[in-house]
Amino acid sequence: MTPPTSWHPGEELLQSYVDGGLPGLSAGSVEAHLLNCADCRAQIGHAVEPRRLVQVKEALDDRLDEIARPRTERFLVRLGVDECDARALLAAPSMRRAWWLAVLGAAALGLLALGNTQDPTAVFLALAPLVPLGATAAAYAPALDAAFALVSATPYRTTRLLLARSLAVGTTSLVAIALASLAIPQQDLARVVWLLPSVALTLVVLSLAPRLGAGYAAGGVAVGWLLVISTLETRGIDVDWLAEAAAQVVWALLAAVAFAAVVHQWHRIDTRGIA
Amino acid sequence: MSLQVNEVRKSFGRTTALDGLSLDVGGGVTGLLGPNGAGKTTLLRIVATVLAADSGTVRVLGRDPGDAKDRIEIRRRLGYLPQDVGAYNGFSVREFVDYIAVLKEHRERRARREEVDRVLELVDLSDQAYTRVRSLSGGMRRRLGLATAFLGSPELLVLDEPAVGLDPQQRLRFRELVSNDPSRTVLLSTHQTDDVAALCRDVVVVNEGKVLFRGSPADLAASARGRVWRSEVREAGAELAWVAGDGSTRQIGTPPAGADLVEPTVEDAYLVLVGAKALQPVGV
Repeated sequence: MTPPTSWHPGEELLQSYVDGGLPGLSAGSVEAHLLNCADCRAQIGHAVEPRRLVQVKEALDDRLDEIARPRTERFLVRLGVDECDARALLAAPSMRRAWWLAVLGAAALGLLALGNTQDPTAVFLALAPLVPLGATAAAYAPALDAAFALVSATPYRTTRLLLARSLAVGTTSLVAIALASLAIPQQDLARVVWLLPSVALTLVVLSLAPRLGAGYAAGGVAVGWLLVISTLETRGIDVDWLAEAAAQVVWALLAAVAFAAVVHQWHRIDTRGIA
Repeated sequence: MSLQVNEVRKSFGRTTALDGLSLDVGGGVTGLLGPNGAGKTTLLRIVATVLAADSGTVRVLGRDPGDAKDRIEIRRRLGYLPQDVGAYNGFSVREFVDYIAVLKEHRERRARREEVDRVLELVDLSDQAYTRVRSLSGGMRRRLGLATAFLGSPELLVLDEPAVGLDPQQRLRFRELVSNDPSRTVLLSTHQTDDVAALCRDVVVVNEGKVLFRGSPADLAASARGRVWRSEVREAGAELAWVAGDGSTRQIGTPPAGADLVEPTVEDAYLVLVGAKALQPVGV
């Protein structure tokens, strides 16, 4: 119910308000009155140009859109990422799950290393590559994105979408593991030597995923990696061999080959769709 | 021709979904009829550039979906409704349509907003614009998918079972929507033979990855003349029979001499073509 009011702004004052010519305090006063006075609202309704109403509505909608956009999207746009790319990258709920996997996986890795007093380095090196590999596969996997069939029929390139998703989660994962590596008590090379195997194995997964599916590719590579580690362990070769220069060169080469395979495979996605 | 599919084969493991299927589709509405596992969805996914054929040639809007640039160009002119839209539950209706609009290159924010409003109005979802997807009924989800397909007023609409879950009023609205632009090409799959009869200029019956029939709905219905009859009880020549609303038994098959033949419907003709397979549960 409208409370009674004795004062009403005159026609001239209302027109100035409508034209945007009133200073802040006076405009605020008129506005407060308008909120409670249906007669004055009706009066200015005729005075406002329809074009201005449209402009105000559009500005309001723009502002609401801005507020409704997730913070992460706004952050990426501020960093210079194209607005559409940012939306495409962040919208799918499967991406949030992949990010959580990356962060929680790294945290679990840090805790495991911290809790293993016998050989924290060995535990860390053996398990570190599994985190980016799994998280990236989760970000890539079309099967985890419920709307993928619809999305993949849009002109937004499927490879661009999948590459952006994989890169974003893969990078997050590597940063999270770098932070988790601080849990290793010894100040040794273990804090960096996990990087190349992780990158190489993740790229191998991405090169296999278009044909095998992300789940099988990630599972196969993870099992293969653990088999190699445990086989070497049973033959008395410690996982510290990863720190040797020759091993790092091999991992770098594998990463390069896997990257070339990714580029080749992903061209196939652009012409033949996805498994 | 908007679509040309020639000798297309597609298999998933040991299962053959399309077995040398050929089909030309021009303007207007063409309906695909077939039992579950007939290959309809696979065909639509190939036409929508989501999937590639193992062999054969496909031209969509005069372009080759096997070429990366052509593929993008086709997608710019295509509206696709998959069998399962997979809309994100946590999104509002408007947010989801806006997301797909972004991917469909509606980059300018205000123009995109207007386009989203337009398609929501088309499918009668304006009042649910801020409703979460998880709260929508099956029919509303289907309309949400339709809204995304209509974004940008595409020349070609590829719709996989678009009328599933729609109530009679919404089905009429849907028929209006897809048929109001004769220059547009619409290829839709359905199990609803009455939709085909009411809506489609052409009907294609597909089974086991092959085309069994291609023609107008009237021609399809006429193809079953002399194969549909009614009597008091099921008779020996009947392949399919059911008790109709008037209490008589409607039968499809080889009628006995002197049978009371009736004018077949599109559904009768479809059943004659597909036979008992139409009654099988979901297969491939």
